Amino acid sequence: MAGLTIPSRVERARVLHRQGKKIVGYFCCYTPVELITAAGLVPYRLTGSMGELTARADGFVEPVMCPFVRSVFEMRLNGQYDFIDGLVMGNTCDTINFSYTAFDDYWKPEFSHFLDIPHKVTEAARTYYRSEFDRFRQALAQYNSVELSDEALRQAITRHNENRARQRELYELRKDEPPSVSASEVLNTVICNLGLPVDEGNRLLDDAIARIKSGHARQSGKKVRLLLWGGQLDNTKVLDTIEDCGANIVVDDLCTGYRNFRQDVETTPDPMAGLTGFYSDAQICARTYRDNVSERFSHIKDLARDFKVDGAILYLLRYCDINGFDMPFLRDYLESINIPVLVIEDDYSSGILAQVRTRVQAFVEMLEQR
Amino acid sequence: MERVTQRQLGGEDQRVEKTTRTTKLVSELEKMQIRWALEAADKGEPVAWCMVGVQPEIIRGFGIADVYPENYAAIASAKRQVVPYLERAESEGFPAFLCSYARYGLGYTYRMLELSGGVPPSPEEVPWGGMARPDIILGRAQCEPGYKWFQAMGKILDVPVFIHEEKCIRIAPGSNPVLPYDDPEFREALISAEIQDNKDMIAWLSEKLGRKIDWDRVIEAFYRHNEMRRLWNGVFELRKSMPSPMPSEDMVSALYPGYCLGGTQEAVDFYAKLYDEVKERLEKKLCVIPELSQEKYRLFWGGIGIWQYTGLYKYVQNFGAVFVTENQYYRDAFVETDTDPQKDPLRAIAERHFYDAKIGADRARRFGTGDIRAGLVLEMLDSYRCDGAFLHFLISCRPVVIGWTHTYNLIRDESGIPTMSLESDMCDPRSVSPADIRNKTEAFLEMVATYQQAREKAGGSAPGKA
Repeated sequence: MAGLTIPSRVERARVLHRQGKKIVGYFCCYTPVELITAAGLVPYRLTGSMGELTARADGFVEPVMCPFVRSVFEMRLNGQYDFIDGLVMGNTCDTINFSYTAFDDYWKPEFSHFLDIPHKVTEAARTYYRSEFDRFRQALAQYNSVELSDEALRQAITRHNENRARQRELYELRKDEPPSVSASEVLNTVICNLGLPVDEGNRLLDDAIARIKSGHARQSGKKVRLLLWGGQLDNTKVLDTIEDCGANIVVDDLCTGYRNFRQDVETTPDPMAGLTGFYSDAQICARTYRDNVSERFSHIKDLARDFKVDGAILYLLRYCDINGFDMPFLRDYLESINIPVLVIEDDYSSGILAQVRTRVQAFVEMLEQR
Repeated sequence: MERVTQRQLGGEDQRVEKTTRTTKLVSELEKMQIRWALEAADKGEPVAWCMVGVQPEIIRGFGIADVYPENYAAIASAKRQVVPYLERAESEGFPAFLCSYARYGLGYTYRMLELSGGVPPSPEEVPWGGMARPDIILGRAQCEPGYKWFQAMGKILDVPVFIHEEKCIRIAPGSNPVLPYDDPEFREALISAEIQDNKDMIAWLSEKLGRKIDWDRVIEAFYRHNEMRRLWNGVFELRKSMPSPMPSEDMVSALYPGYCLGGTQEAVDFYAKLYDEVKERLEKKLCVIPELSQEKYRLFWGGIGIWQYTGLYKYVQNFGAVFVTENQYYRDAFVETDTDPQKDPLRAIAERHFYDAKIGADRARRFGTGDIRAGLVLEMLDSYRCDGAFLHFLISCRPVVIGWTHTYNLIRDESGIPTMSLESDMCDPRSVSPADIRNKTEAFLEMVATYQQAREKAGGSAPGKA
């Protein structure tokens, strides 16, 4: 059975860059990519290089910060992100927030913008979101010398919604038993998509879905279906390690996964209203304060039900404080609805994989006996 | 390294003699505030656990007994009473890399739960009677623990939580020289957002406490807060003198009223007393090291105080060095607001924050960076004529630590002042080795001395020399 072949988004970005397209790097689901696309720029979700040392980054940023963000910094120093023209960061987490000026001072991008993202879902937050997005819109328009009209924004929203729908369609294929596509193939597809211009991303997804449907089905003797929760996971080694232990990861709630495309931006007469409402209300992530457990976690219960999971792995990246504070409560919540949980802490290095394997094997064996 | 005193300063027993008499009053103020809350709880009056920085005028306007778990954790840390609670939080699944103030607070909360909401009774377990059980919890989103920690404590104790927003604007002078603060539309958006946040908090508190805010008390607290700021900044200005009239080991205690008693007359009185005493010391040219007429080396302390080994501030004095200032507890002089607080106190409060942020951004831009903290550090190194700088790398405090390497590089590029990174943690003694710190410090002071001599030979006046 042949696996999905995913093109290199880096190579594509370099080609576009050489052709004069401006590539704008960003870190987080809270970045309004629609505005970037509407400005004629290419939004490029930054990913790290798990397992590679960050010796050069040590001279500029701290070791006790998110290892994924450190890795990205290292990659830039090593020239791997030389095609990035613009940089968008925000107070989406403490690492990204407090490292922004180091990124800006050392990366020296042509365009650099910091988004002040509210932490709550309130009317005041939506109003402030709107003013921040207006400011970002003006900055993008000025950078690329375009008008960035409401019509351009509407079209960008439509195209990105189509992109989200396609990603959801890809995930639907994981509801099969056995799932028609592996977790690694899905991740590689999603990550690639997040680095392409949205129309190319749509074609990539169409192609992948068509190939999967036309007989790419994986045969599997694995009985156990898992949900994977966490933040930034951009490397397939962890996924392969888990799936090699006799389980299928059938759904996730990750920054680089389902969290990106769970819902669409609402189409509103004023496109900025729909955009603001989406990023303010629809992003369910530990970073945004929500009052009660149901608001915080019930979407994971729905995923677990819809994808018929047997257990959940909570993947915690070291120094990810946001998820670290939520993790015990999520664990208790899932166990209260009879979903067994395994917690894995990762330092974004390959050295963790052997431990992961041992622990997942025991977890899967336990689930197989239930 | 040559010693200047026969006294053996800087032991590990945590008893650090303060230079200023006024600073010795801090522990009494802390005990008073803790006692207020315990008495309020006994009387059935509302107690709030607050993140530092939650709007003091609003707290005073409601007459709430406020308790600060962050400051309490620092007290417990200095008294070496933290490890059991850290371990308790970790045993509940909270990772060991989380803020150690938060882990202590979470452990305390779980202990309260065991005691059905009661305060741990033993003085061996918690200092000064303990934190009273909260009726409400007020977090602040200035950092992740600032709201996630408070959310977690509320969940554990089943206590309602309100999160106060914190606006965060960062500038990038390299790619965008236009400062957003100079844009009137942006200014109004920021101020309006903060006004609405405060209105939301007032409405929430009114509902939870069953009472209305007293606007007269809000306005009174506003004026007191401003007066406290004026005096606090005044103390920092006096500390630029040589010899230093007040060292860092005093300010890391003296920060307390400003952080936790904002808007109270007690805070104003404290800083007025401190100002007078520091001025008196300056006029008498009293040196922190009595054996000397002036410190040999002037040191800068970057970041939160070193609660695990406060003796370090004294240790350097063995060698004629004094920590003369620090950035973390610095406050700019108060800038008059455009709006009369009598007419619109919420707008005046929001304007004050706006101008504070703008001052920081303007300062950073003068040094060609968007890093607001680095801008302050660079300015202070110069205005306090420092010979060396310590940057305190706290293993579990990302908001304070991230950016220190960048600051270190900027110091090297701008001034060349020797700078040392010192690793420890706020609350977790398992991460700290005082012996190791002393060894590194003594070696660093050799470097500071060499640097000073080199600068003198080059014809420049060494900062530590008048």
